[in-house]
Amino acid sequence: MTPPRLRTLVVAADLAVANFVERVLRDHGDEVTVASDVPDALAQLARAEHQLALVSLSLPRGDGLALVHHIRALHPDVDVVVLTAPSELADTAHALALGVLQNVMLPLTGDALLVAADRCRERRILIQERRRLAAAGELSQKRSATYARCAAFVAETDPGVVGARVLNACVEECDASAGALYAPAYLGATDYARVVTHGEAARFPAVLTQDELQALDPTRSVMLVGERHGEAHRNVVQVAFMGSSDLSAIIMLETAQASATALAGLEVVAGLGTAALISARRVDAMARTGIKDPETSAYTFAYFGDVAGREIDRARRHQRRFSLLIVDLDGVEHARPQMVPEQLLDFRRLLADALLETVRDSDVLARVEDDEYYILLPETGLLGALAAKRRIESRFSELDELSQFHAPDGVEAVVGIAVFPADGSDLGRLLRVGRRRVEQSRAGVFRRLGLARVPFWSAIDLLLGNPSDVSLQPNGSVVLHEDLERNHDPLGLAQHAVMPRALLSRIARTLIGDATRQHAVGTLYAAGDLNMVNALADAVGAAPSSLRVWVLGGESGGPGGELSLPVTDARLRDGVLLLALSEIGGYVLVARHLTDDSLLVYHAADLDLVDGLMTALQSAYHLQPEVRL
Amino acid sequence: MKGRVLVVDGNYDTLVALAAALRARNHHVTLATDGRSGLQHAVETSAEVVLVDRDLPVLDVRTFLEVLRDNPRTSDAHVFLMGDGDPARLSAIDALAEPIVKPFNAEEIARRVHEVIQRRRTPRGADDLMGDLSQVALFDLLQVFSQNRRTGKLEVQTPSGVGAIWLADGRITDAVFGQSLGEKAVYRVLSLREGRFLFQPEARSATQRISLAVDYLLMEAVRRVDESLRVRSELPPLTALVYVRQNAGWDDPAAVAMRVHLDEPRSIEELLDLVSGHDLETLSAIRKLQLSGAIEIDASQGQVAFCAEHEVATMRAAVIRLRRPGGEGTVRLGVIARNSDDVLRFSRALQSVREFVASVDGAEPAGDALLGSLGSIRFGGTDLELVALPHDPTFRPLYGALLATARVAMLLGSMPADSILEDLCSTLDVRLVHVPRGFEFASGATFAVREALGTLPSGTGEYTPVRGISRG
Repeated sequence: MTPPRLRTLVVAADLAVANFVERVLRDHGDEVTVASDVPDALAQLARAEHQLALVSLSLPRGDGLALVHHIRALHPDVDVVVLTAPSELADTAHALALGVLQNVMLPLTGDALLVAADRCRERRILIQERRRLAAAGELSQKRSATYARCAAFVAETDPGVVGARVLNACVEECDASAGALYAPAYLGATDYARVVTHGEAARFPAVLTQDELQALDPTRSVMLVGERHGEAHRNVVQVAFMGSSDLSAIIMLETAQASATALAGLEVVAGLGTAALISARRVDAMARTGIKDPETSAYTFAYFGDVAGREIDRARRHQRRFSLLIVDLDGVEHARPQMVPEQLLDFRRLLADALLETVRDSDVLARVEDDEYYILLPETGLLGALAAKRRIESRFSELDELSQFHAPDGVEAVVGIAVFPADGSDLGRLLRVGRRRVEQSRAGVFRRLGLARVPFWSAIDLLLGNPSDVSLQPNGSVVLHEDLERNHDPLGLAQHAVMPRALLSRIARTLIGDATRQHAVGTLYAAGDLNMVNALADAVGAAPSSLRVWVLGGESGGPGGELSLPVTDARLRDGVLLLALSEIGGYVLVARHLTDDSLLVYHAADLDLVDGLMTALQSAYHLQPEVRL
Repeated sequence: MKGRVLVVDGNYDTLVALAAALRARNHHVTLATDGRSGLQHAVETSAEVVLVDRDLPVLDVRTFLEVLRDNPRTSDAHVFLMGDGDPARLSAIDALAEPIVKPFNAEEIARRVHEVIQRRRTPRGADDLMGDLSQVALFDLLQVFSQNRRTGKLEVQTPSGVGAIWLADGRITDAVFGQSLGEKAVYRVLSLREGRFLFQPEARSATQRISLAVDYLLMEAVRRVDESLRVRSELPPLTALVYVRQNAGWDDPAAVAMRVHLDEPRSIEELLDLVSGHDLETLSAIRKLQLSGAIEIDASQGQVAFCAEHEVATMRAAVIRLRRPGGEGTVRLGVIARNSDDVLRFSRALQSVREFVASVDGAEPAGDALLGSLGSIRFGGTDLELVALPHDPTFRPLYGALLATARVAMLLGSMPADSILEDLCSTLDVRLVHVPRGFEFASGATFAVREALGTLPSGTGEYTPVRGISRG
């Protein structure tokens, strides 16, 4: 370090002394000014910055000591050296007490003078050093605060959360009144939209133009891009988050204070923020290809596709079967916008956990969307899939925890089933069939009439209609009240019909024979018509049936014999009931007498309806659900 | 068939209800109110079926089942696990136990238990007996079954039809062959010399149409078969058509019975089916009438082959392709018609197809058309079942049930485009094949079925009947 050059003021009444000092110090390269009395000295000090003042204590009227006093008070940065005669020892002590650097005894020698000047010089260096260290300390303190701020987001993995935290850190760093973060929608996108905001950020543009993006200087992450004059003076600062190959995000800030320290802090945030944004985006991309959905305990769709592919291979090789359930959660879409991110996360977990409770250990549950889940049920046919569907639907109908969330209408599960290989032998086709079944179920008679919430016989009455809704014309035809149209399926798979009584036996026998020929296990309930019951007993007696056949309302030994279940209910004898559900599908027929020989029939092959009615019937008469899977 | 059943439940009402239902079925029932005494009883009686409550007093149900399975006297007992709530949760406690959801219908449970005991009593491997008639004569089979007092159903499948004879304790109780029932069917079945047979033990006939002694039936059958063969050798093939020439000389009772059906020409085969009398008498009457000149028999119209010998492999592959994946039963082809006339003409045309076997209980009227199985086309070891469905929209729910295992349906007769039917079939994943005309002829019916199978040579186009003779 080159020794600083001093500007020295010499105050002495004795001109010889003044000249001597001037000559010695000038020779040494310093600058010297001379004053002969107190006012002159103070005027000189005020005029220019001095580092050293040489004050002779032998000024007239004891002014020397007074001057020392003044200089210490007015210019504390100026070092004072007093020149004293041996006779003035008392004053010297006094001066030293005032904080002068040193005293030099008269008669003056050049060496003594230079020693005093060097001492002053040294002190200067020390002071400078101390100031520098203090500034550095302050800066580093600020740095650690910045790092602490950044630590809050570096470990985050959700890109949305990282963005919000990065913006917060920038705002705190320069005490900004408003700020906005612009990010591309996906990797490689050229449009940058405002995604996170702070304060009155609406004044910033919603989308950054291509020109603005091109104008960015890739070497400088923090830039003062302009000023805004409103109620107060505001700077606009731009922070760019430069990835290795692209720009991860840009933050615009409006701040009153754009000091170098603040900008330096922003640079730190920019560096760490870039890393955090990139890694969050990578985690996000990895989560999409990973096994588990990071937010719930469900699997990801990618893993599900993998498992389903393997399951299809296995099932094809070993002639096994499996089922696929598509679960649509109605009401989620409606409730979601009213939730804050943390709440949404809890909501998601609640839904996934409710589904997880209903599946078996071997089943694979995957989340596709917030309101769409896929479940793979290995070694499960239609009947097993229907049992799983019932479990899911009943779990969601009693999901009490939903009251904590803004889901006033609750969440309803609509389930579509696709069975391998009957419904298709590749994943795409199975998913398509499952999706179609979801739509069918949603539009189906069972859901439309709200039959899930009514007891079995009320459901039958709703389906068949009141006797007053049906009028028998003189020519034998039947006219139905138009309200009953609601009970019909547009494709004709569920509808009313007028049938001769003899046809009932025929249909019952055909169903049994059909299931038996296809080796499909299942259950069939029948009641109400003696001929039909006898035909069933004949068919079952002739060949062992794969359907479990029950005649309700009969007495053992009576019609139906071995098949009869003693259920006492007059309604079972009044009408006709035929309800069959097997691995290959379902069929329901309920009927009421119109004339002696003809019946008004409501029949359907709607799986939702058949399954729902069967469940209702089983619970009404304490019958066992079908569990042969 | 007395089974040893143990019921373990802390609830007295459950015990009483189950015990009553099971004892009504003549089973030996032991009751226990807690796990420890339950285990004791299980070992003492070496129970075959154990019904145990999930919330068992004294002993945890898991421990109960563990001890039960460890003891060699009870290790193969069939266990039902009772409890309320979801059956899946019961299965989760023990995968081998069959869940029973409380509350239950005691009668239903009793039948389930009964089924299990019945299944355990039926010796394994004795389920079905199968064989070929060229190796074992039906006559010998029936003699053996009769001597061993067997019960069951003897089913015979031949290219000319499916027949069945039911036995109960060694006595023949009923028989079916094609349209014929009872005694007549027995003689017909026993005349078969080729085909496959299948014996299903424990199957019983619904009705008893035969009360004759087995020995008599068998002796009579042998006589009749020999006689019939002799008469048939003097007559043209059974597919030949019989025309009435003059109305004199119809005095034989068998001839009188036949005359009713002969207002239109019919084949000998059809006459044998339609006349309720036995085949030998009918054949003799035909021979006598032919000799007297009262009838004329035209043998010119022969049978149509469904496919040529060299096509069998291709056709079989085509039929198997029509099988719904995962389906195990017969391959099915829907036949949708607007009126019963169309179906009847189609099914009559099929009678002249060599490989066609009419079903035992044929299709029956439903609305304006027919419902049910028409029969199967059988060749090269595969069956193609034809199921008639009415076009009438009110029967559409049955499509959902009966076409669930089919992939193709034929639409007989020309009818206007029906977009709802098309949509329904595409929802059911069933391909619709229109057969506007020609299906009333054997060759046309064959053409239509082959078109449905997708095995027509390319560019064949629409069927045009070559010969204008219809038997309908």
